[in-house]
Amino acid sequence: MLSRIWVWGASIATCAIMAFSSVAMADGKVVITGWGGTWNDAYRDGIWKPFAAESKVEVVEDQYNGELAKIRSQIESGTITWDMVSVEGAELLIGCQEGLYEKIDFAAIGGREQFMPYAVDDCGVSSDIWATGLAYDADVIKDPPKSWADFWDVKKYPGKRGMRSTAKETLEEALMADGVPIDKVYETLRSPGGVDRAFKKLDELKPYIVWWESGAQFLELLSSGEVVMTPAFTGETITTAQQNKRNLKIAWDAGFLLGVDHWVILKGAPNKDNAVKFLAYYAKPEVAAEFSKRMPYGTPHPKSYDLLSTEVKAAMPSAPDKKQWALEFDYPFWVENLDDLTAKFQAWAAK
Amino acid sequence: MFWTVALLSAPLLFLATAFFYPLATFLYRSVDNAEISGSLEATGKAIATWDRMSGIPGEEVFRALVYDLSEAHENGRQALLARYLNYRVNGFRTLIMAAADAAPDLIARGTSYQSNLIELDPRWAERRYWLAIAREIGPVTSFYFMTAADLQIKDDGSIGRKSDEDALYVAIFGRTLLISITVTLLCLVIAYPIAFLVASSPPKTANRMMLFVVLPFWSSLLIRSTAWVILLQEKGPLNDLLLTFGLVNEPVSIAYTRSAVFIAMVDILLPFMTLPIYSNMKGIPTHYMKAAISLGATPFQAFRRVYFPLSLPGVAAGCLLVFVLALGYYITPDLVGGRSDQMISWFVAQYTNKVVNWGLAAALGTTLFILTLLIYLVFAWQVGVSRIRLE
Repeated sequence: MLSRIWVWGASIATCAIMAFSSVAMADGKVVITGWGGTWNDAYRDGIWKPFAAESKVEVVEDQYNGELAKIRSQIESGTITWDMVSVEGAELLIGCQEGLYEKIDFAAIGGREQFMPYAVDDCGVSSDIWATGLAYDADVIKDPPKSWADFWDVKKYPGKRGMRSTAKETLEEALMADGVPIDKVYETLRSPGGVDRAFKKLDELKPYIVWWESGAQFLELLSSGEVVMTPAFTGETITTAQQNKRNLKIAWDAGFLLGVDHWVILKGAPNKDNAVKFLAYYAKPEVAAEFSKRMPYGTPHPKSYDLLSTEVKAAMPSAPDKKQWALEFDYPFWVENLDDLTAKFQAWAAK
Repeated sequence: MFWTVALLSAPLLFLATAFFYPLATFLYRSVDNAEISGSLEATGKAIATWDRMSGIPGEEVFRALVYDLSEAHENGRQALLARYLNYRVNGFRTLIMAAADAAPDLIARGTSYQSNLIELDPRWAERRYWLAIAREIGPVTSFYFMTAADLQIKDDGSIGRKSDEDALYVAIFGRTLLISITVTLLCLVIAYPIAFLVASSPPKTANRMMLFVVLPFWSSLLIRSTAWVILLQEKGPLNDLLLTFGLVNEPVSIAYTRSAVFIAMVDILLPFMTLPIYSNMKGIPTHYMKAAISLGATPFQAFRRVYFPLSLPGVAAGCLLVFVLALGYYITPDLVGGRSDQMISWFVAQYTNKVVNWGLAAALGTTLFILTLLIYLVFAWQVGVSRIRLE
């Protein structure tokens, strides 16, 4: 009998709490999905919390590994649980063509001209300008690697290598290791025999590769010493190194891949208005800079760069002094070839 | 009366809606071609008149395609069409997207759809794109099953094996079988003595030992797999131990190799082998062995000729259980193995979650399903279903 009273009491209390909380958050919520880990930490502390405090809109966060599938299945099934997602450049173009995203209403967020041209699109505003660079533990490797050819050199640097388990990134790195100059990488990939050349180079390193998929995985591999080097998301690496007092370094001069992630609003998002509200809040240089301060990645705002300390500027992949080593992802190439090269890459890797 | 029938059939209804219906739709996915045939109805009718032997289709086929694309563009279905055609021939995506964008304009311009479309993109004059459309226009397609079997339709219409570079899944199915068989045998070798020991111990000791057998069931599969990665990695406890005792000079790499897959899978699947064998052995009267020995058999002979044959139903049940479970393993090889140690389920997951090629995922899944069913039937026919005892 007593236990039954308990159950009733608990249910009534739960209902009361739910009713109360929905009153407290009268301005609703917005569900924002980022890349997880330190990336979400930086956005949460730097931007989401202040936004929630100012606008009274509750920010509900989620994370994923960039699978377009998770967005497609929401749109196709009509049960949309995410309002805003940060997507990579190729996924931005494909999803925009397929009508997965709302077009951005630039008038509502202060105009398109305020942003750097390559950081905005009809369907998106850049959430971060990021990079994949050659990372190593400087406490283990005393003679820093200077090129991707060094990454391939298992005599000079014995031990295993981490690599991201995607065709995109891996093929570019293989060509750089094979001596292709940074500005000729996509030209080579587009030319006949270019893709085969990349796979042939990958054959050499194959027995030494440990494949990873998420940011958390490569940090674990590198920190535990399971691999001596890995291509790594530079911002996550630098932030983790600072937090855990590890001597993880990026060999910028080896050449790195520069990418742009975009905030997109899903088509038919239940809290679309709040998502637009968030973009309007985010589209201020001083707000966007709060992310860069916590995670050394670029923002779509040219002015926010000036608000950063010299230390943060030095860690940014989009800093002017690193331009000579930067290889920008050729997203149109990947939109065209992603399916085919992914299949080829999988067949190659699985053998 | 009515209520009795209704209540008794409720579980069946539940099974039908929650199991058979999703299974059937999943199976259908592997041949479904609605994304292409649904968007190209007029083209499908027009292209039937093309003889395919030489040249490219005539003006009316081009016209039908432009109208189809214009309609797809209006409904927002052109991207889906482009994606599915791109699986057939790489390059179709941009070809279709550009043509769909230009379709209303092409219709406004009118005559010579053929030259206008080729002017837009010269690839429209290539036969291979048209052959692919002509081949893949029907409501069902064999494309996904062919891919799962490493086959392809060549431009002359014949079916051939893919080149060694592109072929993949036959080898992966072979690997899936090999890993499952190895794991089953390893489990059997380890589980049989354990089960024998527990079954022949006094009840109090046996209960305590059983606790250790079922203990692994209480922790999650994910945690146990991850734990193996930590134990087996180069800077992990196992290597520390080996180095300290001087058994090896440099760390051995076990994590992310085939050995790690065997170790972790055997660890996780072992109870499924031990329990059926144990419960079978419990049912073997102990005086059978004693009788055999009293009639002059050595203990080994008594075991081999009396006890072992009686324990076979348990062994058969355990092997079948472990083997079938191992066939579908995904998360453990994913965590502890390398890319060349993945089994077929890994590819099903990849095509479901990452690439969104559900047709291929369904075809691979269906093939695995049929394979499992066949193995079960052969096994049941050889061993006899009545002899497999799970209780």
